[in-house]
Amino acid sequence: MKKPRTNNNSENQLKFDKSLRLTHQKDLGLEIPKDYFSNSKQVILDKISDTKVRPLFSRRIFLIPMAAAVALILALVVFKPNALPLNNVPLIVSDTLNQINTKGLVNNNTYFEVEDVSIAALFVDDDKIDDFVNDYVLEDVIKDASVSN
Amino acid sequence: MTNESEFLERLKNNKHREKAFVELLNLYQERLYWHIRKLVITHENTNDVLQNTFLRVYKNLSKFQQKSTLHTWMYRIAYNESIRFLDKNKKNQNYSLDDLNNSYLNTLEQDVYFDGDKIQRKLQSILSKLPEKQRYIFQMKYYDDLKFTEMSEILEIKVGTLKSSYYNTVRYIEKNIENIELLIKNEV
Repeated sequence: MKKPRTNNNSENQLKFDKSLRLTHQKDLGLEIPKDYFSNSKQVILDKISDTKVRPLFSRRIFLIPMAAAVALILALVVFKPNALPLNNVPLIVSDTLNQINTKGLVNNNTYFEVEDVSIAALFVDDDKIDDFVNDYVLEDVIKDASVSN
Repeated sequence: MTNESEFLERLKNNKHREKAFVELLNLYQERLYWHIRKLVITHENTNDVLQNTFLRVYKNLSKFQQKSTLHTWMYRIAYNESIRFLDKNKKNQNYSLDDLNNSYLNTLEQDVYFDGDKIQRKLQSILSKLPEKQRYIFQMKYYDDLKFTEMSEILEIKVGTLKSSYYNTVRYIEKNIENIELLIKNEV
């Protein structure tokens, strides 16, 4: 097994890539289609040019459920002290916002994943989840009853 | 790419972004391809993950804050995309833990772009017996030539743990390779 050497100098980049390719082919038997990299580069560039940059739209989509989640958390703090530990709320909210910002979750793909989850339930301790669910279901039943009336 | 900050400025600047991104592609496309290939195994899957990696890089360049080098950041995105892909596949295929090692070899054998001879198959077989994370650590160090500090940032594992895992794996592989070479010599 021959080890390739890293070299970030662009002059030696081709040498490095060639060495990398040979090592993978020779040691591991991994092959690639002919002209793969030049074709793949074009596909990637085409996909990127198709990417619409819609920061305002994306942010709006993201802000609505986040605002709803924050409102829900605040409502739960006020009306359901058993379901949500009061002291943890600001930290949880800031951590969540921070993670979403730093881990690049602000895009359309992850938005739908977030939507699928009952966000409020994520902030409840495991041992209090039963109380939380009961409160939540009860509230839904009352809401449904009042709507049907 | 003489100066990373300068290069990043161009990547973030709308006027120069496209040209700078082509340079980035030229520099990282093949490196990341091999990095991903060893994780997701088949060429077709690697192709998909590589495209997703560069799309994600492109979309997130404005958020890159240079807390790590661009090099590490690129590998980290490629690694995360690969793991995301593998997790999705495992869920869809309901693999049991016992199936995973066999799955590695089966997937490899099914790939039309795998053309291993006897010793290459044996080496792949040895690698397949390693726990996933241990295999990744070995591959990232040995084949991708990443530094332990870079791997630590990518995998979120302490440098000491990485070193220990790597050296144990190398010893394990060397021992097994010697046995294989002996076997092949005897057969000849």
